Amino acid sequence: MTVAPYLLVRLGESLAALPAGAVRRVVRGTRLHPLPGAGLGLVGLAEFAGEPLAVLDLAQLLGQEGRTSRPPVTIVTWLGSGDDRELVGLGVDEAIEVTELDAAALALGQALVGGRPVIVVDTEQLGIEP
Amino acid sequence: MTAMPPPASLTRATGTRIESGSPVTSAVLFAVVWAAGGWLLAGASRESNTPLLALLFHAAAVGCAIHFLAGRLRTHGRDSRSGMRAQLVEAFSQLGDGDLIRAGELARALDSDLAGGVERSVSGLATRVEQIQASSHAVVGAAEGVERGAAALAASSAQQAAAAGEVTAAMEELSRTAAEISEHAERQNQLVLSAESEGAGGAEAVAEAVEGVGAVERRIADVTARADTLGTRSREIFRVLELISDIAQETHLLSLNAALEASAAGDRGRRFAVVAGEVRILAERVRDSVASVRSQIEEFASAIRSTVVATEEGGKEAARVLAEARAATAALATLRTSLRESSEAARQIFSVTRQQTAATEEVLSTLRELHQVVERMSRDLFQLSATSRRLRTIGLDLELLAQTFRLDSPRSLKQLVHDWAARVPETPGAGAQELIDELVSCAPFVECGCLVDVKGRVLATQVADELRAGSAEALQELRRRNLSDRPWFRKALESSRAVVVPPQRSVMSGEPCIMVAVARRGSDGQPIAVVELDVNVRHWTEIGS
Repeated sequence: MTVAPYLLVRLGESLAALPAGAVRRVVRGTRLHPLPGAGLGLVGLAEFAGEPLAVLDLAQLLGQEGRTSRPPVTIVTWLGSGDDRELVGLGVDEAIEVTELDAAALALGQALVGGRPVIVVDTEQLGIEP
Repeated sequence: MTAMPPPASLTRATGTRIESGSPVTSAVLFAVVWAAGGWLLAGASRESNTPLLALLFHAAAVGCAIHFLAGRLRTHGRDSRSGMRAQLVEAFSQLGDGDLIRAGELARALDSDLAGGVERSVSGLATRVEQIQASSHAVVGAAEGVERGAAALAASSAQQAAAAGEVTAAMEELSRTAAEISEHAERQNQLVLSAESEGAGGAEAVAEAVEGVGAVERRIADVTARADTLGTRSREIFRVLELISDIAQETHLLSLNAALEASAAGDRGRRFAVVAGEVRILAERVRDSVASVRSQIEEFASAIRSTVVATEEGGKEAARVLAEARAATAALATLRTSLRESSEAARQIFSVTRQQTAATEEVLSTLRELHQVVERMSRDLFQLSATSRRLRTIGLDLELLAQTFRLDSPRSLKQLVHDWAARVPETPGAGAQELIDELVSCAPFVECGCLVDVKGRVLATQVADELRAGSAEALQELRRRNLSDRPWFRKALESSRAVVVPPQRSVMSGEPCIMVAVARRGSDGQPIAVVELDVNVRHWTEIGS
């Protein structure tokens, strides 16, 4: 069985898994600056390693109901692949753990952790729309 | 004494003998017979020329006259002596009937020696009767005075006896009440002493309660202060827990980042990932423990807050109880003071009522004696009053007895009624009312006067002035009445003397009255009318005044 490490996060009542290789850092209590006229999913701008970092609402990116408050935890991760990849922040409710998931299950886009379904996020495909 | 019945038969027989036996009458009759016979015989002798017959007639007549005159002259001496004796008997008979005036009149017709003796007897008897009248007046007056005084005294002494009885009863009630008051005061004193003793125990208990409540209040204040301290400490613990929780979260993030770094390192980072996972688990356990501790601390803080609230309420309650206990202490002190004063007052009441009871007993003893004396006096006075009434009755009887005599005195009722009867005219209807009016107005002791004809019809009547207003109806009734069936009326018609009826209650005044009645007789001795007077016994003494 082939397994891969994933970062398990909680979005409200749901669980989602981000590929651990794409995740750069998990930060908490990031100061966010809201952007006027920002589109859906863009929570604001934060500062990471001296650079501005766009923070997106992962739940909205996954097509779920958007949050109304500032996300307590921000996952700094790469979206896209190759040269097109961008370092962004994904707002989640909680970063739970780094766990290894079954590759066969991941191929189907679904996995179970502790009996609960987990949304596997493909960070390469979830890049910024051209 | 009762009056002797009049010897009417003797009187009438004596009168007839005196008239039929008179020599003058006999002589006149004889002369008339003689003259008539002579005239008849003279006429007959002239016609028959027989003068001898007339001569013989006159000779016989002269002889008869001489014989008669001789006989009359013989008997005249005897008749004169027997007439004198009859006159004397009649005089004494009238004297026996009490008619001293008539007896005197008859005596005056006797010869001088007898007349002088009888007149002196009549005069002496009249004087004695008048003296008896005067004395009986005095007795009646005195008896009336004594009776009135005794009756008034008896009434007042009866009232005094009743009043003394009431006062005695009131004093006895007072004595009983005083004894009850004394008993109640003694009982009250005992109760007050008991209450005072209980109050002393109560005061000590309340003082202890005040002390206990004060200690509780202080403890409560201490507990409140400690609870506040606990609350403060709880808040500090919360802050520490927040810090620990924060550190745990940071540790968790660090472990996650470390795990991410380890996964990026591939197989080389695998052992590091294990350590990072242990750190993460530790951080989670810390977080769970903090959550558990927070929950327990929150319960603890809530319990402390409840304890503080309850303690504060307990403190307030303790303060209120303490204030009430202090007030109760003050009230108990006041109550004990009042009880002591009340006990003193009860003792004084007991003492005073004992003295009062003793004094009341003395007064009661005196009052009982007084009551007996007054009752005895009242009884004696009633007896005296009764004796006075008897004396007055005896006086009236004496007066009545004296009035059975007809005297030439203004105090003689019989003479009075005779005098007024003599003024009744031969035809009694004319001037009858005026006569009776005058009679009643002249004699204030006469309550009612009446003139009645021989058929018993009331010709005139009148009452005294002071009774006139209230007796008009009775007067009318009297005028309509026929009195022929009245015994006094029949007796007055039969007898030439006045009739006296013993006292009876008058229909006019309601007072005792004597009735005196006499018949007015004409020149032929037949009754024409009867004069009747009702004489008020109470006004008797005014007779002749």
